[in-house]
Amino acid sequence: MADTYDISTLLPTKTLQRIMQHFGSPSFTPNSYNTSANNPVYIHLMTGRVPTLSEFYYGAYLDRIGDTHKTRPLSFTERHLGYLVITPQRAASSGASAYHQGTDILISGARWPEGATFTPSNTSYDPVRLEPNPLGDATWMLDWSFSANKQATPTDGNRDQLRTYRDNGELVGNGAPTWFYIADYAYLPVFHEQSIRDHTNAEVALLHTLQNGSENRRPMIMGTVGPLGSGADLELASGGDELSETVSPVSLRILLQDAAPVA
Amino acid sequence: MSIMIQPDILAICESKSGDVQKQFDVTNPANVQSRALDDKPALLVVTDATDNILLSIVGHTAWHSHDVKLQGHDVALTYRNTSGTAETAFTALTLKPRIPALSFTPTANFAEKIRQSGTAAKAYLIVDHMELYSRLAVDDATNPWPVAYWDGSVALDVASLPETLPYLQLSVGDLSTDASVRLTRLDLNMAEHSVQMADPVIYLYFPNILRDWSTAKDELTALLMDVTHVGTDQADIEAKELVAFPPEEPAV
Repeated sequence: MADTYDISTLLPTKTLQRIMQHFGSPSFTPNSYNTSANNPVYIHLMTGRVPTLSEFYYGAYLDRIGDTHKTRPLSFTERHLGYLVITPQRAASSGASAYHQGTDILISGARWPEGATFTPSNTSYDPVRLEPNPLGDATWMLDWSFSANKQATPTDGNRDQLRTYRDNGELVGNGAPTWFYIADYAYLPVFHEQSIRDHTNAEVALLHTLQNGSENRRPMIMGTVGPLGSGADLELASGGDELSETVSPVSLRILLQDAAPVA
Repeated sequence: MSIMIQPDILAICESKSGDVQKQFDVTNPANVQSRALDDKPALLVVTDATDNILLSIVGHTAWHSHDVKLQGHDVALTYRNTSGTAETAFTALTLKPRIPALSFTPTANFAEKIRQSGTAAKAYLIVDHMELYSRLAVDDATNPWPVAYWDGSVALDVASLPETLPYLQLSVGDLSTDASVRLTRLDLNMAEHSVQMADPVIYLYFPNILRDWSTAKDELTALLMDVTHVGTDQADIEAKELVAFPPEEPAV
């Protein structure tokens, strides 16, 4: 329908903030892993040219010769440096890529409506309420403070091959993480991969477009990555300026103060 | 650049089967507030120009994150997939963004009771955030909607609706229009007419939620068309290739 509405009466800023802060601000912290009591999210680290707003919006990611590699386009998988797990599970740290609430990371919990109490879906893992950071307010969509002690090794990723490319001088940059995305899932999105070729049948670009299905693998949030002081959306105390086996993020806070409904 | 967030995160966060809502016991009535707009009882009230209630239709809402039918946002392209001039050396592709949509599904799809005679001019979708009222009938025996919202004895005063009943004003039209609410007729006479909603489900799209995305289509088109072997069609690509890679002049 070609209609425009004033949605401020249906979705006032307060409601938008309340809906969105459930992503990345879990309500509960269970004592061990359970797929329903838990609500982990995943930070995927990527290298190469940072996608434009429009690529992200359309879920269509282009890599041309010269974007990441000097002589060939790289696939989305080939540009992936691995992922980190942000889990509200309160347990002794385990897993080189996992950030556990209270041990490796302080996660601000969801802000519940005044007077509301919610019951968790699965009580056998002793989920207790994860309180929101008292310093924050409703504009905080998510707020994560990573432990300075942890050097995380991202799971999966194409670091070995990228390192070889780098050592051979084939990369445009140095293979350091340049952007990240956050998804609900560890696996990469399911893409159609279109190979764009020239008149001599040489591959000049790869265009990845999202397939329907596997919704929870899709990038929901994206931003830039860089070393401390770079002004990137996600700053890394180490591993931010080179292709490193380990990284240590500092903090990530996403504010929704400008998320006014304009539809 | 700053952080970018997919607008359909609203649907992802509110889906009862999604990872976010899975942490809550969504079958427990005490947890109704974990979702703001998804799967809520809702009332569609059709009024005349001065908010006199002509019709009221009960149903429920749901979020959708894909299968976008909204026109005007598609990016179409053709690219070369192999050498040569054959038609099969080129592939056409259409890209669509994930624009979140909220649907309203009437519980019954039959002729609606006309509450008052008049000309339909506006509609209001009222969503029952706390799930207090019926999704079966306005006058349901156990949890009826307040009569002031549907029976036509008083004009609808949306400004007085409580915060727990968020609402959206929609356009109304007949079958020849693309209004949000399409009725089989607009001039309604209690004695003579029957009227029905033309669409079994109403989809309300929020194309610019979270930010103004209106430049994204042109931006993506420009990025793709910048590649020599991408164009609007085969002829466009071949013309671009001729400029980028001119055939060698024969030796004189």
